[in-house]
Parts: sequence; C-alpha cells; structure tokens
Amino acid sequence: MHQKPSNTAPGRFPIGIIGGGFGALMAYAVLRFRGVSSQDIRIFSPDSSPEASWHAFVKNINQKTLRSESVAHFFPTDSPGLATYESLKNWSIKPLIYSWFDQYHPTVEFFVQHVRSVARATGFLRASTPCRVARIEKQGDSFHLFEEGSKQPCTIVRHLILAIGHGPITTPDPIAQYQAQYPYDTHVASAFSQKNIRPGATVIVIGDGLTAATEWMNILENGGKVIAVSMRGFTFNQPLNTPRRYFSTRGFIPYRTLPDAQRLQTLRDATKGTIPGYRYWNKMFAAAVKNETLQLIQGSLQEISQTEGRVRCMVQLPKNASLLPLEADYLISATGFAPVTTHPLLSQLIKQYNLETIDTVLKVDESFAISKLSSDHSLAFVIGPAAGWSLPCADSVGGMKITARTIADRLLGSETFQWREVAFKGRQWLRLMTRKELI
Amino acid sequence: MTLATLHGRIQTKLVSYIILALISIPFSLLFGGAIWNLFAIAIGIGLILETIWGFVIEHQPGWLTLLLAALEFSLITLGALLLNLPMPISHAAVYYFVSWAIIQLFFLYVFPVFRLNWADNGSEIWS
Repeated sequence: MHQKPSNTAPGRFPIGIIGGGFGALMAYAVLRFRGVSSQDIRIFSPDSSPEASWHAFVKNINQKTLRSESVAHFFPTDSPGLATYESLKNWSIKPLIYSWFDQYHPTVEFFVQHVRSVARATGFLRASTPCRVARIEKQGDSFHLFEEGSKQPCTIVRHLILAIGHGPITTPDPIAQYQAQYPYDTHVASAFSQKNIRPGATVIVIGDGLTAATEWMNILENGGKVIAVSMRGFTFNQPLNTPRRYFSTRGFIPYRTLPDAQRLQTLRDATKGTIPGYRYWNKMFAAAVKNETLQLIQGSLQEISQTEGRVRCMVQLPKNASLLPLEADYLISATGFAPVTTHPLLSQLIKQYNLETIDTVLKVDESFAISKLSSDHSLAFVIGPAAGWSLPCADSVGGMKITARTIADRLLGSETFQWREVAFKGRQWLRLMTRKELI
Repeated sequence: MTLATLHGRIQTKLVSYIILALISIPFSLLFGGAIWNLFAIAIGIGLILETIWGFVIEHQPGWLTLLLAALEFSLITLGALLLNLPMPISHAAVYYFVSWAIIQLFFLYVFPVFRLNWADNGSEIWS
C-alpha cells in the first residue's frame, strides 16, 4: 500500500484535479483512501465546496430527494450504503427496507450533509486551490496549468484528472432569441434559475428528464396546469438516469465492444432524459393527465412570442407539417446541459491536441485516460460526463465511483489482498466511519 | 445494486464457502458431524443455483436475495431428506440462516472495504 506517485519539486504536484465538484471529490476520496497523501493531490477550482453548484441547481427546481439509491455516495467503499447510514443515524429500519426494494432515495439535505462530511474526512477543501484553470499544456511528462490571461503556469502536475462536469446549460434557439428580445421578461426561464411562478398558472415545460418532471410536480402541487413538450417524447418509470445494467461490467463491457456508430447510438439512448417511477409521481401524473392538468406533447419548439402578458409558442409535431400553437402564463426550459465537449477547457484541448471525438463525445480508453495526452509516466484522465464513451453511466454518482476506482487502479496498481493493504484499508475505513481524517 | 456476472456469482460463492466452513466448525460441535454433510450438499446446490441465476438474473435487489435464499434452503433440505441425513430440519434451518446472515453481512459491509471495485466488476474477485 502507500503506492504514491513519485514526489515532485515544490510547486509541482504528482496529481492535479481540475474541477471542484462531485467528480473531483470522488476521484480525490478514492485516491486518498488508497493511500495517496493530501499533499500529493491538488484540486483547482473556483468553487467553495464540492456540492455548491449542484445544490444551487436542485434548490431552484425544488428537488427534495435524489433519483439515485443507497450505494450512490461519496465513500470510496460501497459499504455502508446511505440507507444503512441513515438507518443507524435515525435508529430506524425504514431506509433499509426501502433499499431492499430499490425504493430508497436520500433527501437532498441528507445527501449534502454526507458530501460535506466526506469532504471533511478526506481533507478535500485543504487540498483545493481557488483557481480557474483556463489553459492546459502538455510538456514532456507533465501538464502545465495556466490561469486566465497568465503566461506563466500556476502549477505543474504529473498526472491530470479533468473533473469539469457538464457543458453549459442548453437553451433551445427560440428561447434564446426570446430572451435576447425581452431580457427582463420573467415569463420565460431556465429550470435552473430562480423562478416566481404564480399558483394556478399554466406553464409550458420544455424537456423530458428528471428536471422537467420535478417542475411538473411543483406546478401541479401549486394547483397549476402543465403543458409538457419534448422532441423525443417521454420515457416513464426508469429508476436510474441510465439503465441499471451499465453500473457493472455486466453492462459496460459488452457496450465497449460495440462498433463506434452503434456504441454512440447506445450512449445516446442510455443517457436520454427519462422520468423515474416514484409511486407518488406516477399517481399524481396519472390523475393530472386524466383531469387534463398535464398535457404531454411530442414536438419541437419553433417560435415563442408575447401575447397580452402571456407566452405563445409554436410547436412542430412529428410527421406533421402543421404547427401547434400553445399559450401559457410561463415557459420553463428544462433541456439539460450541452455536451461536455463544448466546455471551454475541453474544447480548447480537443482543438490544441487534435483529441479524438465522435460526434460530440470525447473518446477515452477503458481506464478513462485520454490517449493522446497520456504517456507511460504522465496520464490525463476524465471523470464525470466526459467519461461517457467508456461508461454510459459516467454522469452519475455511481458511475463516477467506477471511474474513480479505475483511475486509482491505473495510477496505483490493482488492489491486492496482501495483509498490509488489507490492514491499511481497514484502518482508513474506521477513520472514515468515525469521522477522522484519512491517513 | 447487485449486477453480478456469471463468473462473479461463482467466484463470490466460492469465497463464501470459506466463511461457511469456518462457521460450520462451532455448528458441528453443537449439532454433530452431520453438519459437514449438509455443508457438502450446500456447496453442490449453491453452485448449481448460482450458475442458473448468472444466466437469468441481471439485477438482484435485496428482496430477491431473501427469496433466493429461501429457495436454496428448500433445495438443500430436500437434498438432506433424500440422503437421509440424521439431522432435524430445525437444526438445518438454524445452521443455514445463521450462516447466510453472516455471509450476507460480510459481503455487504466487510468485503467491499477491501476490494473497492468488487461490485463494479460484476462481483468478480479474480478479474
């Protein structure tokens, strides 16, 4: 154990993580658990805490529970699951029983507490440098990281982990045009922004995923009416954000053997917007469809205009030349995020080093390394949505955990059952459980 | 979430028999040497069942684990009856379910600490 990447000179770090969100925390936590010292890893991010930006998003859509299940947490080990943790904390067997039926979903507040506690136990914030890396250069067996406008590197790292999250929030063209025309109008908004929807209002919601469905719930619970519009149509009752099989080799090994075009299509299908089958939601949506307070329309938004303080849209229906006019008090865009390859840092790297992409997806190898940026002694990895080519569920806590463990194996070697390693891990786990900082 | 491969199921089952052998020692002192015959039947039936489950079950939630254990116990009991094992069913039930619970706790809470990617690898231990 204690297989650390070799020491480097002061101001240089063996491992640098760019990004300070969930992917960064997961990669950092796993490496720390495997014995890498906090002094050997540096995190570069302008964020003040790993959950900050995610928490702001879920607050704005009023999401109360996570879609993920018990095992989707930031402990480097699978054990204990959040259900066990919550059961012990609240001295209740209920979370465990729900978990046996895959019905356990942690609350946002419990999850945030958990994220903060793992960040504390791993020394995540201490290893963070408040800095926005704007440029990366590969020089020999190291990566030089530059801040915006700087000609001197702010630091040099040997191995790099890109944990940059998603691309920017997508805004369909008609919405962007409308917002440019009426910049102060509050009737058209992104789901992730703060909104002030009047109770009982009619709202057009563009999108087909968890965010859109959470907005439907908010509006219906407020006595309003929802007109849901999606270009691809709606897929209900999918428990996790990607099909479950992709969370183990059972699903992702066959996926990796597919020819490129088929693999891309499989990735698109696996990551499309879907709606979880929460019992309460299903009941509410079924009743709303019946009493016509929820209307589901498959079509694409073509145009938005203002009409007497209301929003008027034109929607193109599939296989139909005619446009469907819709009118509502508000319009919410919940179309998710742009591909990660549009992230400024990654798109610059792609151009600069001619990195391999297929459509809007970055090609990474099975250990989540970017081949063209990696050599025997200096590796560049991705974690989070950017790792989708190798793991369809990469954009989920469970997927990030698989990615982080694979990266750790590549950097530190595979795990063994040697007694020193077993004893070390046992000690680390006890420290984690007793909220002491990892060694 | 348990998404084991066929290899993962068999490898994990084989490791569980090491634990079962250890548990069988105090039970054999308590209930007699017939426990070792039951242990042998459990190995045979367990491996056959895991091979079948490897083909037919993709995801195994907690409730299904419980159901499969009940089925496995029924088949082991049937095997013991067919072989005229000199042991009351109550003893076999205590032996099976105590061992099952210990093995479950081991694989849920202990083993994943020492093999981080065990579940990711479809429960494969040697991969």
